[in-house]
Amino acid sequence: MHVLTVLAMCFTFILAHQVSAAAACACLCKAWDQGVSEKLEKTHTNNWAVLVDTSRFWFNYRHVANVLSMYRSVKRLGIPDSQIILMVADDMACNPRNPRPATVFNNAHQHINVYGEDVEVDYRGYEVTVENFVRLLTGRLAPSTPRSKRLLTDDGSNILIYMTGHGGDGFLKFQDSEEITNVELADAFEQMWQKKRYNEILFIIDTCQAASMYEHFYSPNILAIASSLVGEDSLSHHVDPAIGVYIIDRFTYYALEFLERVTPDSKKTLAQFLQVCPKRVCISTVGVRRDLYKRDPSRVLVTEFFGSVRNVELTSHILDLPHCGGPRQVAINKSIHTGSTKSKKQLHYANQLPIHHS
Amino acid sequence: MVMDPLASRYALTSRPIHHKKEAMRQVPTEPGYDVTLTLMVPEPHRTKIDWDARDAVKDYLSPVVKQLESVSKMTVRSQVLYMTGLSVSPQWSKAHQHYALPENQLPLTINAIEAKLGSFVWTRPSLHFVVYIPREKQLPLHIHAADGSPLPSNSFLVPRWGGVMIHNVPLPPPNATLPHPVTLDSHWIMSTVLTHLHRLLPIPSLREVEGVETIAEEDSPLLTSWQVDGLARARVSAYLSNIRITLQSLCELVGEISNMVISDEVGGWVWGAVEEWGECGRATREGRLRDATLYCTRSFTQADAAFFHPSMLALLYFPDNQKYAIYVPLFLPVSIPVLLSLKMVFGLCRKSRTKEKKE
Repeated sequence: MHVLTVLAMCFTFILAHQVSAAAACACLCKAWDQGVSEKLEKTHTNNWAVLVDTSRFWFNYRHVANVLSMYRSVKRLGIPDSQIILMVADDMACNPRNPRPATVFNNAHQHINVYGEDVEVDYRGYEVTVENFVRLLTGRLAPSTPRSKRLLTDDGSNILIYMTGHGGDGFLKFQDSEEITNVELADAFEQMWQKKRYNEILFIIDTCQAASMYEHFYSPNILAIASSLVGEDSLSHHVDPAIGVYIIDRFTYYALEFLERVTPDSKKTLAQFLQVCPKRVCISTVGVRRDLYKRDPSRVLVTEFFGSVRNVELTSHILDLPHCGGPRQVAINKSIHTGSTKSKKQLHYANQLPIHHS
Repeated sequence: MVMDPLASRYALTSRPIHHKKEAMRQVPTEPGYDVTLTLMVPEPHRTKIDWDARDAVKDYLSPVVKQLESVSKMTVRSQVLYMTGLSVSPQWSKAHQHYALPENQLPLTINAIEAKLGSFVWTRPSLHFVVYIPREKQLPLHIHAADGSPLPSNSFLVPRWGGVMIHNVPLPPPNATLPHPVTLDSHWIMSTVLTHLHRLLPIPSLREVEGVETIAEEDSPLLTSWQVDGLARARVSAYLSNIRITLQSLCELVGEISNMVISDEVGGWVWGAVEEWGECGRATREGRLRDATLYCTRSFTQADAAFFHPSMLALLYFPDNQKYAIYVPLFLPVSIPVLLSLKMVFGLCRKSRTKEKKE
């Protein structure tokens, strides 16, 4: 038994080494390339998005509109709801001050209702706290947390993290009562990296002095985009006179203009996305941190983070298995099945309004 | 098609690209998986599908699942999804007399149905195998490869997720009563499911060698012992490195925060994980793969439970530099007059003592 095991081990190892031989490589590559996506550099298998709005109160309507617009783009490009974590700190659609209840618009001309019919908010209201956010990222949630509130990523997941709200030099304000610092965020990402919970992260932040939030990152494969540098304020785009508040921020407005033209099979690259808000329209300078990201953004498609384009492999041949369960068995099963239908009792509607006579 | 379960180990080094592709296809090594068979019937009012999934699973899938129980646990479920279709737009191909679904439309097909497959019910990783009955106006539907030729298997694999196959049914005759009953080819469906499962787990297979003919086992879909062993070996190897990384990371985290409280539960898990990891290594060296898998699974579960315990959050503990930042501005201004007055008190004491000495 022992000798056989050793022989089997040697056999497998020899096989494994031979696989990397050139001849094997050629025939294998030919077999595998049949139907495999052409972008060999793509290294992810699924896409997740974490969209966070950290401000409450009616005058921060624009932050909710920002995050819901991103949610809508990401969903339109294919990421399913089960892989989007949406954290919205306040409810604008059902706010008593909303003159158009159950809607949230990101444009004064009310082109698109970004609240929509099927928005799924995972963390709402007072559940959006720094602790919950860091627990979500590192995975240290209470065992009773439902699956929709967990970030179940693996080492093949590309995660888009979008944060918006009020920020300052080195911190982001949550709910007007607490802050998350750039060091805590960097540590959370490092914990994620060590447990192999992401393949690549695209981190977008639209707040004042946003670039300070990515200063302390030290984990690999993170591309960070900030709407303003340290010392600059991110400005909002326009006010809706009917509502009376600013309804969208500049960086997100132009980012959305770009994303609205992206289709699920588009070939637009991240380098184009990085140029989406030049200084003359954004007024603040968009900051980008590229040193932790090994790939060239001009060769990375936007849909690798915003959409969900899977690698598919066409099955070239199927295993040749013997037929199981012959016709005799099928006949027996069928007769059992018909027997059970005969003995099923007659069903009828229950009394709709059972009235008890006293 | 050779499947190498050790590909994920090779992919970590700079080996050829196909090892990375293979590592990306294989499901991550976890103690248990949920396998869901989904039959999608977009028009149940026109076709009544007669497929006994329970029997098909019992005949084809259950033996393999039982055989692999010592290596990886799998729970098999099946469901039928009505009134849901894949949003594809095939073109009528005159040459082949069927609707052709080009390969470039395939990557986006499963996004729309992902939410409906019910994978949010459990936290174990899930593998989905979808059997799709095309809509009547798209029958017969065939997948076309990049060169335009129809694919005989009519199915595709999505790495780390599962597989989709298209099962064409005959069109109902013009005056038939609706819904038209149709029986599915269970053998073909389960062969495709098992092919995909073999590629996802992955179950090692033989390389084609010149002049050597491989004879398949005739009587059952069971795997050979060397295949089970190969899979077990790869999984144990992955477990050993994962557990080491988890425990090392946990140590670093605890080392950084000196006042982190580690509960007895977590401590017990860490000790258990380390012991079982050692046992697993010993068992592997001696070639006892079943025992090694058992030890490694237990160790992995305990290490993960310790790592992801809610109390291990760094945020809950006051880091030392923040202690200085908060307490120094609080106490420094107050302490200045206190220290000055203490100095004055000492000066007075000394003066009174020298006065006493003089007197």
